[in-house]
Amino acid sequence: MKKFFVLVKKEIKELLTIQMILPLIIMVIVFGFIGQIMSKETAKIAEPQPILLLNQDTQDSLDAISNILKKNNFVVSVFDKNDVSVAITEARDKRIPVLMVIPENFSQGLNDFQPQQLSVYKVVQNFSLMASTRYSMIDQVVKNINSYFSDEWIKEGAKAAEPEVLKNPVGTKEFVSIDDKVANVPFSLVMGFIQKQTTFIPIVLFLVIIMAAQMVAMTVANEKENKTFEILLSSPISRKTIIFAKLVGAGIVALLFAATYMIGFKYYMQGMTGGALSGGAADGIASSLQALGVVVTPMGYVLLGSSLFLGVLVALAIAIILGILADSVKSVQAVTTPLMVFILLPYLLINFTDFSALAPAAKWLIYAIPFSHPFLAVENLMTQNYVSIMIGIAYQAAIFLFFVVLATKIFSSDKVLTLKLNFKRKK
Amino acid sequence: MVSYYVVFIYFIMFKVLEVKNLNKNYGDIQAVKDVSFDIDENEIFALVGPNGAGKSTILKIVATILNPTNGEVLINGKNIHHHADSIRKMISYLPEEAGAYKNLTGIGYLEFMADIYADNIQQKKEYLEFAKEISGLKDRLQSKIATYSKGMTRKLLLARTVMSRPKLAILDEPTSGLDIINGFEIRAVIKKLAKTGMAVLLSSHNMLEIEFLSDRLALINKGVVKASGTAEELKMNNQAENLEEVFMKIAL
Repeated sequence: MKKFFVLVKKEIKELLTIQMILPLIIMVIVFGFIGQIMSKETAKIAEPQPILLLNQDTQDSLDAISNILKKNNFVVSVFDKNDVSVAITEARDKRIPVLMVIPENFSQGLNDFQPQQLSVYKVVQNFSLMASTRYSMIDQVVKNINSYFSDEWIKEGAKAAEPEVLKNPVGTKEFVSIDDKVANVPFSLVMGFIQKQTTFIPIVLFLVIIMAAQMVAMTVANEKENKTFEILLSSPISRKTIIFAKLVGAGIVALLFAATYMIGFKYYMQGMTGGALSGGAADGIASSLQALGVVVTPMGYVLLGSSLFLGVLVALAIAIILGILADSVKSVQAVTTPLMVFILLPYLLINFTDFSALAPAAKWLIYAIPFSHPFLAVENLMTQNYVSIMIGIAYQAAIFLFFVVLATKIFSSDKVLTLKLNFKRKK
Repeated sequence: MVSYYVVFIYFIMFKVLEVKNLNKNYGDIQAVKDVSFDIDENEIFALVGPNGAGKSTILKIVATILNPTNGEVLINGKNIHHHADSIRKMISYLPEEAGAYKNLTGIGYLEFMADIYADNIQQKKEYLEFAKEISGLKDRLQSKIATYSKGMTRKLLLARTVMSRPKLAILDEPTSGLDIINGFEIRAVIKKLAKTGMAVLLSSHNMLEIEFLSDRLALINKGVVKASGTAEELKMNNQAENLEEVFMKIAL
């Protein structure tokens, strides 16, 4: 038994190296950091939410609805002009996510036991998870308004009405507004469409960038370890050729990976959504999305593809340098961990928080990370804000060139053989 | 007649390799101190010394993969620092305990390297034929390198190093870790190649091997050349029976 424990001790010692532990520690720190930002965002949701009310009916209706909204933790602002489009602009300017319109004869209709409809305009600023949560809160309030009036009817003994009508005196007409466009479509469908179009982005970025980066770093570390690198460096090939050959080789394999994942993912998504929308319903939604401008044009796909491809190239250029830093194949994972962090950080912050409401420092941090731009491109793509995407692509290209030049410099100096991160403790 | 004269003058003027007052520092550590030597055509020159003496550093500088801190290295009269690209066509370097791409077959590896060195298909064919002959691996060239023994890998790499018939072959510990037979065969190949005109710079810590192999040598310790000359000269000057004795007398 003693020998068994001696062996187990040896196994653990071999597995638990600094190279293995460091990535774990970095991940814990990053998740902690993201968790803090997320908790602040979640706290924001727990705070009273702003809503703009446009009342086309009597003061009684306004008071009744306002009261329910206030009870449900909403801060109500009343818009005093009877113009929906001006009200939407006002909501957008003041960053109020929802405009509710109480129609004419709302009170009177309810008094006559006639079901009424409130119009709810969801003024979209971004498509993050936090934004969706906000909009789902208003859906809940509308249900509460409905049950309030349903109770009122029941109390008044509305015998004339059908039970089904009695249960639903107040319905909603849901509109989504993006930029200056408005369409009568549920927000969840818009969000669903966007998610369907863009879920492959994190997959490509995560799997392809991380795998390709590890692969290229591994080939450099492997060549260093086997000394095949010294043979290559002393042969009549320029350093630039060696670097570009590694980039192009890994880039092609990365593209193959990406294509394979995308095909697999397409089948997966078809399985998930197949038959959910078909025929007329799908056509109706398509025309609503078109009215909102939520359409991905071929130009949009080209730009998104460029942004993704440049993201992969930047990662590969950085990975070549990281491969030089690794003193052995075993430490490749440790040196490429920071790369994963820089992909994870923008992914979580852009997709799960209200990016436009982040502190300026956090925002600039995200802009500075070259892997943020494919994520940022998604929203700009939906709203055809191509200039922002192009600025992102130009920035990524500049960063790519910077790292290629840096890699060439390192390859042309002693550092290619002498540079390494020393994980051993200095005595 | 004039052209023969020009060639003659060229060879008189330029040695294959000239190392002048070479220094190399790694941070605070001075790995190579003021080292000078030269090599002629057909000559095998050896750097001899214990591990960590600075031999590999000198070889890497000559192979253009490290830059000197001070001093000058000339190959055929050209400064290697300023003409690295053209120098790399004239030299070939075999690192100590180097490996090869294990997923390739022996012949696949030689073809890959021939593609890198050759300027045309004819040249590639010549390089390949020469490498096949030098390696002596015959049918085993069709096997994956992953299945090779240490001796076979070394022979393959030596064949790769000399396939382009470089002016200067730089061999770092060419027989280190090999058994008697493999070591003997590799030494024989090196001797044979030097007779065909190739200059060889090699390093070793095996004094007896060097005595057999090299025309001239430099005894090196802690980055400093302690003595240089032919093995006979060194033994005579130091009244020693073999190079080991010479080294113990002057290097320590």
